[in-house]
Amino acid sequence: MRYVGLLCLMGMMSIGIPADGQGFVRNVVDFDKSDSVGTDFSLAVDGGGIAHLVYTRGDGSAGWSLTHCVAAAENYSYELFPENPYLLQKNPYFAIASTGDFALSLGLVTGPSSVFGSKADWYDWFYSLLPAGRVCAMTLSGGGQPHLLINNGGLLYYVSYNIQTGHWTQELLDTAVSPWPADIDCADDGRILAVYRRTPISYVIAVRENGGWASLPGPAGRWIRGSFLPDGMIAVAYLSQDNSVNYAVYPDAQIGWVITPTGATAGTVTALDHNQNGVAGIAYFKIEGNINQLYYATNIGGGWTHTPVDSTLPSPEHRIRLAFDNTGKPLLAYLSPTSYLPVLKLAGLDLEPYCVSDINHDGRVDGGDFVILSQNWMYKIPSCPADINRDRLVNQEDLYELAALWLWSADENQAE
Amino acid sequence: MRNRIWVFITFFVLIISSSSVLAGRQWYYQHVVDSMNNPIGGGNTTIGMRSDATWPVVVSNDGTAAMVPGGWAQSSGGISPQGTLDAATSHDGQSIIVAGSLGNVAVFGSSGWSYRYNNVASGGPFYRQSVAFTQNDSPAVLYRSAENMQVTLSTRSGNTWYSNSTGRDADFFALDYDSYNQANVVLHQNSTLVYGTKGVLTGNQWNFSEPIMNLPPINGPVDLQLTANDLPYIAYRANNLLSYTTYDRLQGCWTNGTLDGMSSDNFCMAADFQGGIGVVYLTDGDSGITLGYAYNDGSGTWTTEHLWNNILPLDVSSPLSDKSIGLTFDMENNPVISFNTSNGIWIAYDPFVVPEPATMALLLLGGAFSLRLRKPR
Repeated sequence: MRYVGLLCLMGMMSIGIPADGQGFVRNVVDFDKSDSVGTDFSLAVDGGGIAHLVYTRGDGSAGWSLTHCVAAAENYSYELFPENPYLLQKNPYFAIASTGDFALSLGLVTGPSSVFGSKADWYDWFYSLLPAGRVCAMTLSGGGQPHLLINNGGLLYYVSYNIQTGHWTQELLDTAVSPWPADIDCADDGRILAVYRRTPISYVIAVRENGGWASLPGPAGRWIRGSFLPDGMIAVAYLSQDNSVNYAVYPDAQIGWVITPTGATAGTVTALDHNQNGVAGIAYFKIEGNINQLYYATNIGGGWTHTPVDSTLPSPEHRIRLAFDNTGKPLLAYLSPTSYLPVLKLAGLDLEPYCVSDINHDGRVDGGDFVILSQNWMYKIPSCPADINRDRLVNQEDLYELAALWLWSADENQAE
Repeated sequence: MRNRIWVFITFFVLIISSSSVLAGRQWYYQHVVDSMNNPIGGGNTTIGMRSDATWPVVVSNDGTAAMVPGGWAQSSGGISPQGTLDAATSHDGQSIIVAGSLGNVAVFGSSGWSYRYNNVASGGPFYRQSVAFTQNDSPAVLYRSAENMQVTLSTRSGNTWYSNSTGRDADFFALDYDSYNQANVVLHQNSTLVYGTKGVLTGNQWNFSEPIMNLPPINGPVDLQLTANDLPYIAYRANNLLSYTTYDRLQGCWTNGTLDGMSSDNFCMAADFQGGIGVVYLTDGDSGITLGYAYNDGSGTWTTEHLWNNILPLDVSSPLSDKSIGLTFDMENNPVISFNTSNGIWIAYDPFVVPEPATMALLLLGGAFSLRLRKPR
């Protein structure tokens, strides 16, 4: 009798994930029927080239929980962040220092405050309250020194930690700043780059050097994203007035911006980063009819290539996280809807296909997975493979996740 | 008028640029406490740096605390070396080795405690172990073997410790590595100092010098650091003076000097990343027990100062005969000192150089002079 409901629900949810990737493998990291998984997420890559995603799950009534997914080949592992003195956290920014230390900033749901957490193998998460406001960008410089941009009611602060005094320090960077996610990056010589949007809409490219901030005259455009090249040169990607996706570098004040059209037109530019060899990667949305197509552009080999990543994106303004593995290949994390609810995806070149609901890891969400789920129905075994949502109970919640991703196929999500 | 302003600017720049000569250090003090503001650790303490020599790590007999953004994180599952402690930071600034005089050695890097080596020796509190990293950043420990009571060097290669006896007994000893990756040791033996090396230039055999002559009677522990050009500096205490000896290559002999007249056996030596050498020590003077710091940038000239903090009661509580202070340097060569007080462990951090009061007075005078010139006529 208990299987009747499962079968009915499965029958209603024979939904597949469209597969239109050309080179990118799109893996389903997580799914949550509460419609909140991945609405806040962050992506970082460790020294071994393994992607780490940190994202929220749950809903406002029951509280949010924070999940850490280590995307190692086909064996993705998940852990819930332990409870900390600052519950109900959202908007995570996660980073991994070159030495392996984890860094995490979280916005508190109640009030405009954020906390910062730090962890290494030999000590547990240590949290401290950041200066007031919401973190809108975070990065780590050499040695794991954090640098953050915090927006407090339109006032944008640059925040860092003074090791000598043992205190967080903040510098007012600008006023009338939009809560739009900003970019911050560090150069090896200690310079800090901040790119953010003001209200009314205008974009600022600011550089901190020798203890002071200076704004660069930016290229005429919008949706500006910024990053340092490995050699310390400033680079931006943006939409020009005619909606062209442009890439520009700033060698010095005398030369000014050297602009390179990538040859694409788009609706938004959402991410820019460079791999360790200085190859640029740009994530942008192209609005084709009613479809928001996510593209990845790169200038490897001198020319620009444009590769579609996914066509199931909820909004062209949605956040995309871009990082590179240790071989220089791009990884993109983003929210992608099924016909019902969004899933958190990780796309990359040469990824092992993975779907959180593919319980038996055979590359397909089908009857084989349902059999395993049925066999473990109502079991309370820790780390049970059928416990898709990892709540330590195999029940209808897991069935829902299985059904929502029914007929997901690795073949349809592999590189062509 | 503009010329006068330029005169002042020139005057100002000259004063500032001369601050390296006239300058003193601005020390910051931090209490090593947990998130509830309770002191972390106690007893003997030492300090090292991790993550590109960016973040201090304090190790004490009661545990380990790592500075992280926002405070001090306590170690989980680590060990607490017992007895008097010695620590060293690797050349790449990523790893720390700590040894306790009661036989524990721990090495940890960014991925945590990587080695735990217990019962290296059981020589007791008078036989301080000495630690260093080889030029390849392999950990090394000089200790007094419990088996034959001889000073022994153990180096770690792969997953194994390799031990080699110096063939000598000594009450106190110290270890460092030169640019040829040779072990350099100094032994305090029968109130004299003996210097030895072992490596490629000695056929990988121990080569000990004759006792270093012309020294006053030695009556305590010793420490050793090499400069960037392999010049050895040995710190020791003789006739109640904190002293040093170094080798004069031109004259072919050892030369001595005094670092401080107020001192104790509680001192510690460390080298920065540019070859400078620092010594931190407890002083016992008229104003009570406080910290002393001496630094030599490798040129041979020592600057000495006594740290005094008017904000917190610097009640250094450890016995003067212990080794309850530690010294390390960050990647920018700023010294970081750990010390034990009646209120737990503190660190003293020297982030930058500030002009001396006399220089400040000159600056103020220049400013006043400039303002007077700029008054409307």
